[in-house]
Amino acid sequence: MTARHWLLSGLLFTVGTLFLLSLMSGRAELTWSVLFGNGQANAQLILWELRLPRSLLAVIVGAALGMSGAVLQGFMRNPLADAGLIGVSAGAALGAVLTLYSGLAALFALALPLGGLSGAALAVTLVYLLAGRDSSILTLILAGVAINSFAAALTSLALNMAPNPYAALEIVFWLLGSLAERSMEHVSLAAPLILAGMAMLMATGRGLDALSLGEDTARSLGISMPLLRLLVLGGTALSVGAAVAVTGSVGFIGLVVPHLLRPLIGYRPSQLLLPSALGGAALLLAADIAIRRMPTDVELKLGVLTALIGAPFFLYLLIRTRRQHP
Amino acid sequence: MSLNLCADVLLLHLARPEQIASLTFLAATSPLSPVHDLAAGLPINHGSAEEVIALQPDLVLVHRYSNTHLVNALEDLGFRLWEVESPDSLESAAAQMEALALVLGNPERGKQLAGQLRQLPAGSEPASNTSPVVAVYGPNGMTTGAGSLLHDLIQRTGLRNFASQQQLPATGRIPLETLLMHPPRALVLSGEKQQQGSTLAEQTLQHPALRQMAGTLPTAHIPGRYWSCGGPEILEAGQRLRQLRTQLTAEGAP
Repeated sequence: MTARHWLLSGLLFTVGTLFLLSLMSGRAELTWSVLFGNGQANAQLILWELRLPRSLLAVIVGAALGMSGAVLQGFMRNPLADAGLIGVSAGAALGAVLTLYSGLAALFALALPLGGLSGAALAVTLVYLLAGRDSSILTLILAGVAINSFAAALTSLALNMAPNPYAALEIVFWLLGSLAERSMEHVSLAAPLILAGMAMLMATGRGLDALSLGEDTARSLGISMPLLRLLVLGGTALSVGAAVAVTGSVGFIGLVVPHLLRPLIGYRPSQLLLPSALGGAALLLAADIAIRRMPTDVELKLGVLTALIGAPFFLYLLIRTRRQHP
Repeated sequence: MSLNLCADVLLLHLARPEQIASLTFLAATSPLSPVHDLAAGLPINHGSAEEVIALQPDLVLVHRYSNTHLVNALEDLGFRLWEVESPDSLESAAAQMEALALVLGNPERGKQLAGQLRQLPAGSEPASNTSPVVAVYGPNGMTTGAGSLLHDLIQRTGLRNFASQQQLPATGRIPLETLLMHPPRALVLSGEKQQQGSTLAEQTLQHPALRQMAGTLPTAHIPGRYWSCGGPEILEAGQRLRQLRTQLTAEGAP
């Protein structure tokens, strides 16, 4: 087995272990035997209707965020690219909010992930047009700040205008994300779109490798740039858009994970995609287990924890990259 | 003139229509308002000091949780204020109605409504240690424990409140897992049945785990507008709780 195989099996094992641990974490004390069909009916209900969808969503959403981070960093050749930072998640949240509170999502269920997807597509295209590839880190971050705050402002505007009095209180969910009390309906709604998006992202590997040698070299290697662009932007919009539509925008996963794994893998973008997906799944599962195991009366939002870890990491990266490219 | 939805509710029940200078815009339109019919056609305000100054009312009703800057400004301007409370028991709701009716110069109306409230749980035994447990579950898992009007009503109807058994405060949250682990004998769902647009908070009421549970338990629908303000709408809440109690007795509950 090569080092990469060892890494992949290690990550897979970590995700599996955390998945089981996640099924066993929550307000109610369940014993392991519940997994094998023992215990009272309500314990079964908790396991299958509450914890299983929650853990499944953590895996696929984490994988989508991790992989999209790795792809965006490779495509924009910018170490700070991440769906959350450049405003894609915020755009997805806006799209989801518009369908949910206008009542469109009540008419046909698929409207919600499709709304998230459109918002994400709009934001990622906008960032690409504003900052493009090979832009300075500053340009990318500033474009991200602008799109983030604009989308967040429109989201809170939409929530405040919603006819329902509870709507305005839910801005926190859309900004910080949560997996609490999601159901299998959410999984079946989001999973197909997320997986389709990730398949598109997986197909970018060869193009990203070639692109790391420069755009001209990539062309001469027979890479079609319009196709690569479509795969990257479309795959990100699909996977992140559908993920955010059911969990709110959880930040920093896509930023942190590729950086943690890159030293173990080397610098070929294509080699980073699968490990980043697994790493993202593991990190989101771990964060979601942590907030459930914390002895707080009201469960913390998922994004609170990922930001507590991710924001200092982001600052560290910023300082390091500035030192390398002053 | 009233600057708060709960104050609107009390004013509409206790004042003569010609006494009312203005209500909040919520009274006639908000899904949380129980007084759409009564409020229709009356002048409205949006809760600002400017509107109070323009109307120069003899009395301004505010709520204990009204914006403090607004309340201070009105006090400084010399307006006569009356502060509405969220009652914590049937008795305090009845007392508040009597007190406000007196201020409005209609003490008879106040006595009449307060009297109806005081004899509300008529015909039922107060809760004992063996009474069936009922859980109030609303959007976002919101529930209400000891020290709330609905809790008082539940106890007087001969039921025990799940939230107070779990030591939750007057306004608290039940995680769905906790509810499933300690199943109550009956459910009171406090969300609105018909809402324009859906919110995440209300989606918790649609969760398959809750629906499965609700399918097996006697369930009453008592939206928050029937009990959160302490107006006479609480009579309807009492009526529905009594039906639930009767159903439980028929099923052999102690």
